Amino acid sequence: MILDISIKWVLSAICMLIATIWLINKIVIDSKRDLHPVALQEQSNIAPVRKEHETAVYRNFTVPPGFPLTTGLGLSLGYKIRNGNFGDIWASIMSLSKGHNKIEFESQSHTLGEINSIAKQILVLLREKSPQGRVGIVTPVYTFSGFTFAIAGLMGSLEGIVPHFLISIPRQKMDLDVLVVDSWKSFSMMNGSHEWYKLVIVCDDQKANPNQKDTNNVLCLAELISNAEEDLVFDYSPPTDNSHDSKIMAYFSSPWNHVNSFTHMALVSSVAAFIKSFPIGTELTDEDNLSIVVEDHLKGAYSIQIWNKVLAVLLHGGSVFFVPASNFERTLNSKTTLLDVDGSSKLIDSLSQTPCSLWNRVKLSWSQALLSEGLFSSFACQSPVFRNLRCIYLREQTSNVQEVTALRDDIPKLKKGIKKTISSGKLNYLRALTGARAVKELCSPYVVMGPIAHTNFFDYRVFPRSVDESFAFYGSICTSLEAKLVDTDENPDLTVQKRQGMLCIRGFTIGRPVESERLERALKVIEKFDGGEGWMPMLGVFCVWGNDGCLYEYK
Amino acid sequence: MSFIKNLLFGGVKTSEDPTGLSSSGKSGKTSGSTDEPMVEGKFFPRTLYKYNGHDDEKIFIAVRGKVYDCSQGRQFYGPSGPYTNFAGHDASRGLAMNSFDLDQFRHWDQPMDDLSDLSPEQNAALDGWCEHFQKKYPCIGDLVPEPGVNI
Repeated sequence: MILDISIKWVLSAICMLIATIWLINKIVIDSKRDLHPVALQEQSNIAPVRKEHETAVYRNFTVPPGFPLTTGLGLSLGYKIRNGNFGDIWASIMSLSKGHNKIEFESQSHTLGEINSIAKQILVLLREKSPQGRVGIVTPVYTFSGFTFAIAGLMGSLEGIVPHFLISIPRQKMDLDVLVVDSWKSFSMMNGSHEWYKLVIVCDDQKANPNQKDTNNVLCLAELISNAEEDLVFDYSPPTDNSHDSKIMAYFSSPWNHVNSFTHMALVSSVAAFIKSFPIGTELTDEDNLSIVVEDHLKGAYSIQIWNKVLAVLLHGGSVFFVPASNFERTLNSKTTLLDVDGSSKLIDSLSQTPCSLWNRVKLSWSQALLSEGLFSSFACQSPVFRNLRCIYLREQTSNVQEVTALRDDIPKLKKGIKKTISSGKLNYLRALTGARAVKELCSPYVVMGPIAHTNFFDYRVFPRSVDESFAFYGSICTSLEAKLVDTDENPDLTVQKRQGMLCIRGFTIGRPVESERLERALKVIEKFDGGEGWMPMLGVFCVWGNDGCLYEYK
Repeated sequence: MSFIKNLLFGGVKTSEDPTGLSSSGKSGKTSGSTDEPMVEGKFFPRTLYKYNGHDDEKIFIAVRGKVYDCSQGRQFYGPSGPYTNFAGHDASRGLAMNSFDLDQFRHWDQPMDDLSDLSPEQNAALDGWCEHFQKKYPCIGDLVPEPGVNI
C-alpha cells in the first residue's frame, strides 16, 4: 500500500518535472526571446535574380530591393527631402547641447560650447590662410586639439577648404597650405620642411618654440585659444540647390600613403545608418554616452571611423569619452552606455581573463546558457563600471586591408588561418560578463566610412566550432550599402553556386581615390566586376553568405 | 531538455551551421533549395510562359523585350489578379493599348510581336509603363525569339 503511494508520488513528480521543462522550453523561453529564431534566419533581403558568376545582391533586412539605401538624414527643405551634411549635423548638435553634453579626452572634459568656439576661431584663421586650399591635420582626432581642428576643417569643407587627415608629417611637398602638428617635438623633426606651408600650427601646451628658431609661419594653438569662451551657436543655412551635400568633406591618408576622399553624403549616410541600426525600444537617447577606446597604432583609422558614432551620439544630446587602451576599471567612465573598441584590443582578452569567484562563474555559465537560447540577461555582470553599459561595438578590419586600399589590379589568393577574430562563444562570454549587448562590425578602415556589415543587436547565436574556426561572422550588410560576392579566376574553389566569392559593395559610404594613377587603376579594376554599375571590389576579402542572409568572412 | 542540462552542467546551445560548408554536417537550408536566386539571362516566349504564377510560383512579365520579375506584385499579376493575363507573356501590346484582353497576346509558338503598328500615343503609353516596370521590378533578362519556333 505504502509502496503504491510512493510510486504514484514519484510518477506524479516525474510528470510535473516533464511538464515544467516543456513549459519552460516551449512557452517561457519562446516568449522571452529578444528575437525569434525565424527572424535570425532571415537577416537580409536577397534579390530574386543574380548575374552569372555572381551571387544575388544582399541588403539589410530593413532595406528591401527597390527601396533606396540609407542616403542621409531625411531633412525637409520646403516640400523636398535633403540628405544633409556636416553643417546640418553640427548646427543641430549645438542647438541641442545647452552646455550639458561634453567630450572627454584622457579624463579632461571639454564642453561642446568650448570646442565650437575654438573651432570657429580656427576657421577664421583657415579662411584667411587657405581660403580654397587644403589643411593637413597630423594631430590625432582623439586628442582635444586634433578633434577641434577636425571640427574646424569639417566646418570649412562647406566653404571649399578641404581638411586632409594625415598619418604622419609629410616627407615630400604636398598641396597643403596649412599643417597642424601635435607637438614641438614633432615640429623639430620637420627639418626645415615647415617652409613648404603658409602656416604651421603646433598643438602644444607650451607657447614658445623651445628650439628658439626664427619661424614666422609657425603658430601655437595655445596662443590661438587663450581667450576662448563658451559659444553654443553654429548657424548654418543650406543652399537651395543641395550643392553642399555632394562637396568633398575630407581627404584621408592611409598608412601606405594612399589618399581617399569622402563627401558629406558619405558622412550623413554613415551617421543615419548607425542611428537606424538600433532596434525599436533601444534607440539612441540623451542618456547615451559613448566611450571610444583609443589604440595608438590605429590612429589613421580613427580619423575616418569615429564620426558616425560620435556625431550620432552628440546629435541625440549624449556625451563622448576618448579613453586610453588600459584597464577598463581604471579608465572607463561609469556613465558609458556604448563602448567602441577594436576587436584586436588586448583589453578584450584581459577582460575575459578577469578572475572571479565560484558563484560568479556559475552565474556566468547560466547567463551564457540563456544567451545561447536567445535570452539576454545582465545578472552575471560583475563590475560597477559596466552598470550603465548597453552595447559594445567590436570593430574588426577586413583581411588584406592594404590590398583593398591600394586597389591593385591583381586579385590575391585566399589564405586561410590568418585572420584573428572573436568567436561567437567568446562574444557571448563578453555579453554575460559586461551585461551588455555586443555588436561585431566589419570595417575597411580607409575605404568605407563606418562599417560594411554588423551583427544584429539581438543575435546571440553560438555557432558550431567548425564554423567559428573557418569563418568570422559579421551579420548583415549595413543599410548604406548593398553587397554581392563574385567568382574570381584566382580562387576557383570558391563558387557562387555555394554563395562564396570575393566581396563587392555599392553604396554611399565608399571613398574615392584621390591620386589620378590609383583612380585610373581603380576604374580598371571596377570595370572587371560589372563596371559601370558602381560596384567596388574589396580585393582579397573572401566571404560566404550564410543561409541566414549574414556575411561570413573566411579566416 | 537541453536548456536544463546546460543550466545544470554548464554548456550552451549551438545553432545550425548557417554556411553549410563546415564539416559539422549540422546545416540549415541547403544551397540547392527552391528559393535560390535565378541567373539573369535570355528567355524565349516558350520558357517565359511557365512563370505565370500558376505553373510556377514566380511571375515574370516581358515589356519591350525586357523580362521583369513581378512576383512582388502578385496581387495584381498573380492568378485571379486583375492583370493575370500579363503573367508569363510579352505584355507590351496590352500595356500600350490599355487592354487586358487575352487576344492581345501572341502564343508562345507564334512569331514575336514587333509592335510596329502602334500609334505614337500608344508608344508613349508603353514607354511610361516601361519606366514604371524598371523602377518597380528587377529586370532579370531579355525576351528573344526562339529559332525554329518564333523565327
